[in-house]
Parts: sequence; C-alpha cells; structure tokens
Amino acid sequence: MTGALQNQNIAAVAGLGMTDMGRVYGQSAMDFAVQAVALALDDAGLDKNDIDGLLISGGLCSYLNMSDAVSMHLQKALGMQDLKLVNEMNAYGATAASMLQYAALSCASGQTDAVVCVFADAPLQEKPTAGYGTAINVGTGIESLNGPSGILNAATQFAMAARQHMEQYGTTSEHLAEIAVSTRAWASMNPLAQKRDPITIADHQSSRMIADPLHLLDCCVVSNGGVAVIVTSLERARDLKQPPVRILGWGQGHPGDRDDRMIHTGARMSGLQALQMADVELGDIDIRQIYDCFTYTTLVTLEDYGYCAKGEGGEAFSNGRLGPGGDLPTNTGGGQLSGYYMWGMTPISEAIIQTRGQARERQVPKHDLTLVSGNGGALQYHASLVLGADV
Amino acid sequence: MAIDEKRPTPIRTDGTADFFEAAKRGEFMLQHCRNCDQCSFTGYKYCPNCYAKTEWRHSDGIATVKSFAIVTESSHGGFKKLLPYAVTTAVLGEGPTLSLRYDGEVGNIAIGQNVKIAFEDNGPDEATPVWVAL
Repeated sequence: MTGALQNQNIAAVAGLGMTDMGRVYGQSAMDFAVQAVALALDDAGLDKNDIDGLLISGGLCSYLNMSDAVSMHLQKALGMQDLKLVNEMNAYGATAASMLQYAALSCASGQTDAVVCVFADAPLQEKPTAGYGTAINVGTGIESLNGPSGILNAATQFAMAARQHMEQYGTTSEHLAEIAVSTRAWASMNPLAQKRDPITIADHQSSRMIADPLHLLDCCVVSNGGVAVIVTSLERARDLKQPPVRILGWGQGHPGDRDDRMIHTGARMSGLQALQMADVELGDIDIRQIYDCFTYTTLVTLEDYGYCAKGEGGEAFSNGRLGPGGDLPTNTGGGQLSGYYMWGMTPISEAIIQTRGQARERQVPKHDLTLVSGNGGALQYHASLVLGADV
Repeated sequence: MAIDEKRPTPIRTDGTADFFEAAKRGEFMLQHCRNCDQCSFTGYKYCPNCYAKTEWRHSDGIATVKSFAIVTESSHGGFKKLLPYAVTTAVLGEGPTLSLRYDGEVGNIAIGQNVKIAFEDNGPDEATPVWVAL
C-alpha cells in the first residue's frame, strides 16, 4: 500500500489502570487520575521512571471548568520530571482514541519509550450544587445561545439526530431499545458495570422520556473515576507482564459543524482509514467497542462503519445481533449505556480486556481484532482504532 | 432542590455585540460576506468561507425545520416552567442552521414546516431568539 502508514509492528498497549467507577465520592478527578496511573503501572509491571510521556484528557469537569478537573498539573501530582512528551488534549469523546494514536506515533518515532494516556473525571457530587444540564451556560457569543434556548445537555442534540434518522429512514424507538437491551445483557456479566439488571424492550419503552424521542434507557450513565493506558513499542510490550494489545490501525474523521454530521458521521472517514492502515477488512473484525453516549450513537456509528446500508441500522442491529451470542458482539462490557462513562476510555478499556482474553464470563471466543470508536461533542469529532492480539 | 431559577442569558462577545443590540430591538441579523456573498452565523468576525471580514445584515428569519427534540424534564428551575418545550433545528433561507427553542405548542411542530425568528425578553440584559410558527 503506498502513501499509507503500515503500523502492524509499531506499538502496543502494555498497561491498563481502572479505578473504582460510578458513584464514587470523596475523590477529585486529579485523585482518580493518579490512582489510575498507579494501577496501570502495576498492571504493566513498569516503574514510574519507565514512563517518559504523558497525555492528559479531562471529562465533564474540564468541560464545565470545575475545580480539581484533571489538568496539566497532573505531571506534578504524579511526580514525573523531565518527560519527553506532555500534552493536555481535547477532542471531547474522541480524545482517548486520539491519545493512543499520538502515543503510538511517539513511540514508533523513537521520541518516547512509554507514554501513559490518562482520563479522569468526577462530575457526580453527593450533594449537587451545579453540573451538566443544570444551569451552566457554556461558551460565549453565538455558542451562548444554547443555554437560554434550553439546550442544556447532549440528550437534546442526540434526540434531534435520532428523530431525523427516524423521519428519513423509518428507524423506531423499539430499534433503539434493541441496542439498550443487548448492551445491558453484556453489562450483566461485567462486575465493573453500573447497571447490571437485565432489561427488556418494554422496560425501555416505559422508561421516562428525557428528550423525546430519547427515553432514559437510551442515555448513558454518568461516572466518577479514572482510566490510564500505557502505550509502548510492541517489542517492549512483549517483555512485560500482560499480553500485548497491538495498535494496528487508526484514523480520525472530524466533520466539524457540517450540517448533516449527525446522520453521516465521522465514523465513516475514520473507520476506513483505521481498517486500511491495519490492512484488514470490516469482515475480519471480531468485536466492536463503540462510543455509546446514546443508543442512537451505536446505531449510526455501526452504519457509518459499513455494517449495513445507510439508514438500515434499525433492523440490521436488532434481534440480539449485538448482544451475547449474537454474530456482531458489540460493547461487550456494557458500554457507556450500562457500564461506565469514561468518555473514549470506555470502549478502549473493554477492547483491551477482551483482546487480552481477560473478560471472564463475557469473554468473546474470537477476540483477535477489535474496532474501537470515539465520538466527540455532538458528533463533530471522531477517532477510530483497530486493536489486535499479538498472534 | 432549586438551582438557578433564572434562565441563563447570552454572553456577548466583541464579534456578536451588533447581533445582540439588534436582538434587543427585535431585529434578527446574520453575518454577510461582501467578498463571496455568503451568509454565516459563527459570531466570529471573519467569513468561514473566504476569511474576509463579515458584516451583520438584516434577515427575515424564515427557516425550515430539520429536526426537533421535545424536552420533557429539566433540573433547571427556569426551564421547568416551560416543560415540555421543543428544541428545534431549522435551516434559514440564507443557508445557516440554528438550534433554538420553539415558542409554541410542541404538538404543532413538524419536520419540513416553516418557522421564523422572534425574540423573547430575557430580562434587562439581552433578548434571546426563539422559533415561532410562521
């Protein structure tokens, strides 16, 4: 292949650290970040002095400018000096997958030996005083029309996207329910998941409306917690504690404010690039880990990756096809809908667990290749990864 | 628990001062670029198409509904009073797309219908554009 990077032998994930997640109080995002890094080092069998790169991503706390959001101060909190790479990055939910890409490039170029990518957030408070969807008007100028207009959370924007998809293609709320149900079925086998009780289509339909046409069970959970991922060269990863998870391909596709971006998303562009770089076909992919802030996001992302013709996702992903025992296992840890909301680290962390073969009860038998998506904003940003076992 | 009963008001910037001044008079304006004749609504001073400086120009505010969401719950005291309300994305005749609250019966709104801009008084500071039935 000319003109395309061939990265099969370049970089791998060597460590994964996940703190307690969910309604965990008494810790700031910075506290979670430090714990996540400690857990990732232990997981990889590395010492903090082995790390020479740090990429940082904040979540809702950063978005809302809350105090103690994870920030560039993390380097100080981690006691890391003389690093060869540090950056705070932001493409919202697409940040995590982007961080792994830059970490892989940095290790591939020889700039760094081992980069830790960190996400941490603590938007849930025991006694809320403010937060996402309550009162804060984010942005200035034209952006600041959102607050007075009552556009106070992402659900409003994704509800408009879902309605448009319904109008254009005949997608129904029951189709979205199918995704909620199959995702919850996976979550029921994941001890880390926040929602583990199985649900039915009827449960989804009777759950309260948040922003019509989206019901409560179309929406993700919100979580406090942190996740850290250590990227190093494949060669080095092979000498460490865990089975390497190879970073085989990646891509980004950022529609920006393109008017039809919520129906024709950046998944198409970024997915094609990632598959091409990994030199695999969509049909070779064993598992999908999709950024699922809402059920609709799973549907539209899989459509744009090419799992069905545009607009046919409602039918195509019904009848348990995405769930345990289905032919397209997707969001095998319960995703963000039922698992935990660590932005783009949710799909990445489950991809690592599955690729290593450490998912226990929910382990997908064939787990050589996983396609991972990260969606940012109201679908302005998208990053994809192809991760693979070292076979 | 009552949090912030007062709805948020827009925050003016240097580039949007003319827009919000016109809004207070009940006039809707869009950015227009004399260089490439395109309309935009970014609030930044330069045309996103050709990067020439834009100027604010009167618009009739007539648009076609692309989609809408009916917000049925809110933890914000100021919006609770309005429930259920429809957030509506509509495409203006001049091209730009805007998402604003629809001020009217939520049952009356449909994709493809025409709406137009009106302004609601947002207290002493600013006026906020909303969609109303045409």
